[in-house]
Amino acid sequence: MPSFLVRSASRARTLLELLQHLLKRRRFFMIPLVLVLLLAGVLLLLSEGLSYVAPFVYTIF
Amino acid sequence: MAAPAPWTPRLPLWVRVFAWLGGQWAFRSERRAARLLQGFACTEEQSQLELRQAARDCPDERRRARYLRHALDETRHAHAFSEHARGLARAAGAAGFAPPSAGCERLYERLGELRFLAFVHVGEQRGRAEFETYARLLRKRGAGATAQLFEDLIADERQHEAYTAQLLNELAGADGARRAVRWVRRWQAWREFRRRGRRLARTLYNVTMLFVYVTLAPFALTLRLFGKPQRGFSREF
Amino acid sequence: MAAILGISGLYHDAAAALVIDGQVVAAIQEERLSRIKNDPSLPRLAVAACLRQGGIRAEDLSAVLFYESPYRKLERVLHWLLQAYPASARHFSKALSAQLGEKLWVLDQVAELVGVPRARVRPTSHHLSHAASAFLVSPYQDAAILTVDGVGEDVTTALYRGTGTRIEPLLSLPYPHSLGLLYAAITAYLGFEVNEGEHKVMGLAALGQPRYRQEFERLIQLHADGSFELAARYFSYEAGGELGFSPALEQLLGPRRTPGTPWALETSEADRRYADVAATLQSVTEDALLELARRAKRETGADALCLAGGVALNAVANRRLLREAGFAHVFVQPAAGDAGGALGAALLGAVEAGDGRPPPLAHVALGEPIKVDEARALAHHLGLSAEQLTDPAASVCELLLQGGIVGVCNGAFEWGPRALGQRSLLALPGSLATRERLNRVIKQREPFRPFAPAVLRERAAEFFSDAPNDLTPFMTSVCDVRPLHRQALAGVTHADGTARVQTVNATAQGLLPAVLSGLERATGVPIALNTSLNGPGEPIVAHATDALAFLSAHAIDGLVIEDYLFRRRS
Repeated sequence: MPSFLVRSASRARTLLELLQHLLKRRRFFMIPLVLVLLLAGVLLLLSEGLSYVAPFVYTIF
Repeated sequence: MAAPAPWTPRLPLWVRVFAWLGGQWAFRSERRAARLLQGFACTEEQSQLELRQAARDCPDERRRARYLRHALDETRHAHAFSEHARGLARAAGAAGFAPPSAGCERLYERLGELRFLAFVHVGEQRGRAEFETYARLLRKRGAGATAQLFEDLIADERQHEAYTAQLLNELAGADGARRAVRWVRRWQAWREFRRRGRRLARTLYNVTMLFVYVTLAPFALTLRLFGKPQRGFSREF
Repeated sequence: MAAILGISGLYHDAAAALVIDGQVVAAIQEERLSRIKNDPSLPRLAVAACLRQGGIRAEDLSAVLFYESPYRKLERVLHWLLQAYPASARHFSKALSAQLGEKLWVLDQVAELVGVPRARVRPTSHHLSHAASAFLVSPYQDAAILTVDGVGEDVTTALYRGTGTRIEPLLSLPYPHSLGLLYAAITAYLGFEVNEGEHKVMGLAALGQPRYRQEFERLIQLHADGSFELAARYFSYEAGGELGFSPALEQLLGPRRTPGTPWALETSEADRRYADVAATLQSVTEDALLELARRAKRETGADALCLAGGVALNAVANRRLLREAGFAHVFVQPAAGDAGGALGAALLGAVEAGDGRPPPLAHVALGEPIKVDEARALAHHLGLSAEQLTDPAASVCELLLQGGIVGVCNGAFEWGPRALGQRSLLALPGSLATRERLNRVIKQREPFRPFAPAVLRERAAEFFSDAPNDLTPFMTSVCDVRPLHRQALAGVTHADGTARVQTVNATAQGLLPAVLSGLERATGVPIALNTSLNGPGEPIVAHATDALAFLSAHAIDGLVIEDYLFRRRS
């Protein structure tokens, strides 16, 4: 499992590529929009990406 | 001298109590019962996938065969639950269900064989107790067919309980088995806690997103007014 | 020497493909290894298997290509969420959490999963991956390439010109005007699972009449230039994703069919009506594809056509294209859906790295081989008998001639959705009783589902019209069963007299050619019923564990793995 730094650098690169893409396509208004959404997504991070944990039991509720 | 009986964990009391209470509520309507059974089908389906993985990765042939047979039982159970759920749904005039689907968490790989066995054993024990409770409850209500469904599966569950207990004791002795089961119970409690935490985080997220959505109105309007509707061939792509 | 790994996943049909020095070394769908049907999650197991097959480690990979651009995809989702404001309110949170929480970071996840630096991972474009997956393994140096699917990033249909290793984009149609989404919407309407039930709808279509053409004209408008338009109100686009139909469609065509209801075409008026809807859909889809293909011919003047994208799996439409589109040759790479994107991406990477095209696809045994020793050891513990065979093909023929159903596993498992002899269930093609037993008891499928024949290529024309051609080795087209033989081939002839034929070279490697030759010697007819070796709802069997599990659970008459025969002890 790569280190936290490596993973962060990787994701930073992805963000940069996303930015470059939106600039190339001239979707300027989407850039601040995406940034706001990503900030909201920090909440997602806190819940660890919201990956669904199957209960593996015979749940009723 | 006869071999000592394998150590088995005691079933917590709350399992039967919760099953009774939950069953009272769930089996009140055909629709709810159908959804419940479909949920059980999905649980069996996941069980099947986990056991298949265990069968694939386990180095010992005898245990592989055992896991594989267990997986086949779970497939049969999933099918039985799903068929019955469809029947109930049709009788209630509700929409039917797609075939049961499930993900796989690779538990054999993640927990290691010993803890995996403990996990399965605890799950089977709990499942068996719940099925017994539901069967009794349903017989009382006169829902014979659904009661029969559970009764037919109890024998399998007992077998699964027995072989996992035996393997646990074989692989780790009574002490090791006890430790593994304790670990699994702690782990499941932690997962349940995290699951509820996730639900809370999800709710918070949804509320935030709703707020963001409302603020997007001007963007949406701009798009509607000035955006070109796309249709027909384009040469740029 | 360049080792390129191609990856598809996250939406449907995850897969990995490895191309070394321009040769396709391995191509594996994740579902075969994870045992989850149409598994969309990133192909962890398939990647490991590809590297094993190639005998390389992750460090040896020059590049890892993902089959589509997550950036373009996010852009489209955002665009449509805004376009459908305020109706998209319900979907906004979920759609964006999927995109921003997971799918945007796919290239990072791929880097971590494979074990290469992030700099070595890059995206290609969805439809270009499809185009490459078909053209670069086709027998043609010069061809028109048509890719038709649900939706890639923001394009649903695309036309390219392929020359040598170059693929030049020509025309495209934008989301939401999509044949794949139309087909998926009606598939859902008919109560089947989307991305799983489409070929069932194709089979159902043969049992109905296209009586709903007027209604379908409201759903989709075909234009003279080959393009078409979907009427948004009948489909649900608010999530900017691949959802199904709106209430307006139910008002137009009648109430939807409840999923899971048993089919009763003989007795149910409603079911016959649904069959007519299926027939109309098939007819309209074929017309649209034909117009697209004719446009392709006009644009490129090429003699050959390559098809890719999920809609290219429509074997019935492919036959019509072969006959009427004006191309002399038509080719479809069997994993035409999103799994094929992995192969296409890898091939694009190989071309970029300076390696040439691979030789034309001769077979699809691109998975992992089956281990007999593993099977023997396991069989003992499962209570199955194992017997070594001196002549596996002869033993299979013997069992078949006794009216048996025999599973065969040999070599590496197939790439693509069809079993082509590597992991197949075989039976004689004439018996309706065997066919019924297979359909009802073993595979538990809807009663209208047909079975497909495998035939020796040298004699295919004798039994089937339009055979052999570039499509038939991979079962990507249907042929008419010649009327003289329909009785003898009752088990593999569909209600409309067609069959989805697989032609097999008698001299090719593997068990199936030898079995067909054996059947020819015994009965004069070199044809076997060939269906995939898997139980209901599970992916095609891959390894020994799955094969023996199948045998334990289903009453077939024998399972031949390489040179051993396994049977249930009765």
